[in-house]
Amino acid sequence: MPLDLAPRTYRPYFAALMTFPAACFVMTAVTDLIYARSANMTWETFSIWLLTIGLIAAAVFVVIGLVQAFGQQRWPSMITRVGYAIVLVLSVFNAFVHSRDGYTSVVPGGLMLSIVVVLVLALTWVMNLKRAPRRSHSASFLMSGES
Amino acid sequence: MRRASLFLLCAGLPLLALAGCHSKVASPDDQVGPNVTLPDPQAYLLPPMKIAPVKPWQNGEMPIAGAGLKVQPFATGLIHPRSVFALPNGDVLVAETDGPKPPLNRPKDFIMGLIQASGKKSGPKAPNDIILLRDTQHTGVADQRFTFLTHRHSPFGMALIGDNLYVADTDAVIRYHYTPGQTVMTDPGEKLTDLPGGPIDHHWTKSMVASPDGTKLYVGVGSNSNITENGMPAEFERAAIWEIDVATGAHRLYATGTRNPVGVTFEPVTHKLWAVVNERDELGPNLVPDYLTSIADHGFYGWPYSYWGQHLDPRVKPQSPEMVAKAIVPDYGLGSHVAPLGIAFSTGNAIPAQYRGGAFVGEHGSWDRDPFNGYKVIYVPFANGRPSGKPVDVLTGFLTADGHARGRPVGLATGLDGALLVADDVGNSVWRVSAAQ
Repeated sequence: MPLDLAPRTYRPYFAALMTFPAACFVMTAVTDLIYARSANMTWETFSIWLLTIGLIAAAVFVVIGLVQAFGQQRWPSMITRVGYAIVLVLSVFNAFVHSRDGYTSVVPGGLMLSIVVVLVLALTWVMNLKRAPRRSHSASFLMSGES
Repeated sequence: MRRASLFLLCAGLPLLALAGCHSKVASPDDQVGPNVTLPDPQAYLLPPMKIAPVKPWQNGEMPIAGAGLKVQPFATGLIHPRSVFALPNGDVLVAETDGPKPPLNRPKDFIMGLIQASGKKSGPKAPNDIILLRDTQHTGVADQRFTFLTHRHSPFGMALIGDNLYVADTDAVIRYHYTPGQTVMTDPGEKLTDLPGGPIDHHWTKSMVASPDGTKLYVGVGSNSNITENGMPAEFERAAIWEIDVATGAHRLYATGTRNPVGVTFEPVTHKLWAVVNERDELGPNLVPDYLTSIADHGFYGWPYSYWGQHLDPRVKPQSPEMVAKAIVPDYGLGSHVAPLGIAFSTGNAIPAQYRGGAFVGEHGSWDRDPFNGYKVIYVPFANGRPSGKPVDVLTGFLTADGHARGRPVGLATGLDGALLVADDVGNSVWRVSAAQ
């Protein structure tokens, strides 16, 4: 197999970029939990902004991912693709639920969705770790098709 | 990524289905009158928003008057007239007013702002002025127009006690010395009291009426949210009817739990305070009926904890069982989301006998209900100081058959002769309704 000397910029960026929306969605679950305990609307406001910012960023990153996938044939792993697809669909629903007024914007539906999203994110991360082959530092850029 | 888009599509379909399933809505007729039918509350993924696009009155088109009545264009070409007030010398004050720019607290505020803007006529912004109209020839059409008072802070309520004219801005009641016949207010005015205003100011209109003995002002102060989504501290002294002492400016809460009491007035026989109140949204197309009710001293009318008496609102935490137990059932339902923004009792002779003694109510019309509800002026007959029957249409035709809004009725007043004046903030007119012959 010839050595692939493609520049590092050809790695698929998608999984790395999606850590930002993922952090937003994890924080949403945290602020939801605080709201559910306190009933202080400030925390619900945190949640809906975190969801909105996470979804807007994710929309941009999905476009980048699609351009790389179809333009450069650099696809993120199947686990990453399916995992984030589920996360984003649930989070769109969650944003609608969080746009209700008052307590039912979080409890129970919104909080449940937020927690399920965190679980899917964790599962995606663990499954990606498990399937990634052990690789040496010097060979890391050979894994250009992975993330 | 192909799979991802398939996933998104599959998830999107039920969303579209949900958005499309509001078409079958029970008739609102059994929510008009003293006894109303209340369905179970719904929780929405996408709350319905149905705004009537604006198609202004053209070539002298007018609303349609009810049986035995005629309508005249008392004034046209105004800018967003929201409330009218008849002075004792026959002059009529009209507030060309609109609320302050709402803050962006949640992404929803941005989306709702965009959608609701489609129901407003493009054109000059309301100047927050008060215009004086005068009908010197007594034809029913004002022939003189003066800019009476300029650049107030979203003025709405107006009241006259002796030679003092009170104007309720969104954030204060201002007292002006008034001389009958004057066409421009020269007195700079002095503040009687602050009112709950910004920075959120969700329900900004401050309707106002003077007590019959001239010692008190009653001001309707709306809630700062639909249902506490801006937090309870934002609701301090809101969703209430204030009683303000004219001599000192001191106030107390005369009644509470009235979500958005936009019209307050005194019933002429019993001299009791009455109000029209706008109830909460996003519980369903037939929840919660807006209402017309007498206002009891120290009365509590439910908001935010419950509606129509003891029906709990699931969106309020923490709940308050002791307040819910106190909640008064309103006297008379007007239907859900009709948005009653004006009330005037009918007294004078310019109106036929079958429209005398009861209350006219201006229904601005729904924006979150499909099909539309409201968009008319009704007459609720009264006997012995209580509503005594089904309402009668007084002014209709604000909506076209294809769902465009020619106008939307807001504030009402009865002139000295008893003719009804109706502010129309989309049609930019004041309509005068009187006996047909």
